[in-house]
Amino acid sequence: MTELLEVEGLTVKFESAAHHLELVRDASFEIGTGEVVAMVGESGSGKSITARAILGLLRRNHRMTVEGNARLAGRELLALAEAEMREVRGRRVSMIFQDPVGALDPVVSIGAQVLEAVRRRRSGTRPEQRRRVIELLASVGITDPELRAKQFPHEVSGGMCQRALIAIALAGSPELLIADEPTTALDVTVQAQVLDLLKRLRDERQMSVLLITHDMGVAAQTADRVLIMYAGSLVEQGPTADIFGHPCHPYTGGLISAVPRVDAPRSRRLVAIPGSVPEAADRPAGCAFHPRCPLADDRCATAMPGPRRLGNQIAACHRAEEARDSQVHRWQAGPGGGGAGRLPEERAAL
Amino acid sequence: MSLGQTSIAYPNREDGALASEAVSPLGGDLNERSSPWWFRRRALRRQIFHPNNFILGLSCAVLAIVFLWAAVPSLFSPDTAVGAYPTQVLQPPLGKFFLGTDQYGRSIYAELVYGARSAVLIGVLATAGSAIVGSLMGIAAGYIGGATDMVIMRVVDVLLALPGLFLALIFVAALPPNLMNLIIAVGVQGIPAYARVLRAQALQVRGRLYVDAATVLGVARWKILARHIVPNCLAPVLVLAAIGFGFAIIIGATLAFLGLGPTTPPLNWGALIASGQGYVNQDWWITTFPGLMITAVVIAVNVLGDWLRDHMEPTSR
Repeated sequence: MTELLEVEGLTVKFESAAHHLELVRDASFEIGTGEVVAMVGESGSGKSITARAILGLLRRNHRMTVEGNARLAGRELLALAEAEMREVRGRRVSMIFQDPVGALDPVVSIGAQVLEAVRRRRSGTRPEQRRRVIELLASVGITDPELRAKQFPHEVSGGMCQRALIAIALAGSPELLIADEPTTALDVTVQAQVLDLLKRLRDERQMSVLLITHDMGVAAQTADRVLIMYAGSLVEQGPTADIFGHPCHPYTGGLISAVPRVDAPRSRRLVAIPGSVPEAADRPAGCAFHPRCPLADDRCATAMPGPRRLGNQIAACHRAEEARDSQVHRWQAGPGGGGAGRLPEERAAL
Repeated sequence: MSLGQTSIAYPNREDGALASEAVSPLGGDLNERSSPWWFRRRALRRQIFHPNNFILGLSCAVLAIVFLWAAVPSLFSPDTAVGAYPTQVLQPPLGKFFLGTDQYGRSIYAELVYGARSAVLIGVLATAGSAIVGSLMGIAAGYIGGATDMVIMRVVDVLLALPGLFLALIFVAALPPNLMNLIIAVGVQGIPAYARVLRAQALQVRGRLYVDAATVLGVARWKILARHIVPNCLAPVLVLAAIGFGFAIIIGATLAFLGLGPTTPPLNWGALIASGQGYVNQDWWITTFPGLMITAVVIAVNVLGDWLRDHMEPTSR
């Protein structure tokens, strides 16, 4: 699989009179052609900032500085001039957003907004462009596209808006689609439809998808590979099966065990990672996760762990091997499996 | 104040006592075409004479009359504002002349009718001018930001530092006294309100997700400005304009009263008041009727502006 997007050492800094923050720290990852990569992390962990940095959306904010490299098919994006970046946006990389209703202009009809995206390619006559709008709307599963095109965002449902947004993003036939929490604002049933749509589009168009989510379930369902982000750093990445099968970072393990399970006994309490994500302004020294980590020792409190390769996975943890092998994470291992979802003692009692 | 919130906007929705009569026990709306004509007439009469709607309707009527006067004064007055009857000076109202005559023997009614054009022109053109210029300044400041924002808003601050009337006074005193300059002066004092509100609006809209969404599509900045920013900023302009319209008429009349408007007939209502000043003790009608006209128009505009504001609040969008 050839790599479409290679991000290397991406760092986003925010400077103000009171703060000097690193919102994203030294993030490196790749996305292959036709690959769906999920980026998972809690709110404020730097997922959206990473996506925005890649698309050059942070440039206008003079307090933000972006360092590192992001190469799209070998071409450095972060060094592009604004005019060149505009050519990349929409045609090679597109983005859809968490809040589909907010991402559509309330005073412009849906059809006109898709048309705006179609026009960007400057090809075809007006009627051809109109036909393309209808095709696009139909291709993302919007029923009665002619009617929907005439309607305004407030007249249709959130799921419909998200589909329209996807249609807009697809108008330029991008190679990479960045989906920033595309299903967070939607019902579970609609969520499944949208995720299926993304997978179908990947299969049909060989499009790569960077799926940003805070939902491990969404990542497990959809992604080929998973990136785990915590407090601005990529703490672990690897193929989905490996990440869910034997997480190498205690945080990943915590995320997996925090997913509520319907098949768990009622007596089992919901698992939560103790504490909360530190603010970017007061991250602890050493590993940012160590105050919440069950495996933390003295080294974790002083030295920041660098990424290390363990099999198919890359994890930034001093005690990655122990995390991988520890029983603490075994009992919540992956989908299926006899003892999955039960505490060890419960399993023993069976 | 919430005048006229109800039935004018939604002609099919009745309120109060009317609603109970208008809806049949079967749930059908008796005001539909199927109901008998006499019933509809009574319902309509109730609706129009409901206190809220009555005031709104009256305001609309006043404005309609004034606009008609401004458009075709000759239809409404047999006399002209210039033509005088030297033998009929200072006639009281309800005699040979409906509203009496002034010290030159001119019909007050004719002067009011012919003076409407000046008031309406000032109201419409000055308001439109300050709305357009002020909105563009505000949107440019808010959207572009940085140095542009700084320069534009400092200019607005300077305009805002002086009271509106004083500002207009400076302009009109510096320029030759004709109607166009009066309009410009009144227009300039209205600019800051639009600039400030629209800047805030543009700042807000600039941060909306759909602007980012258009940016990631690769849409050019000026296209985003024209297609997404401007249309989404315009909601408050109509309301501001409705309120500014009445204010523009007052300022125009004030300047004319001070002798800073056109000095040849047809005179602005403000100038009419000024011309009758010396007679106010005995021949009150020269000053009273133009004053009442100004008051009526401004109240009417404000009632309409209030109604607009009630119906165009952003929450209702």
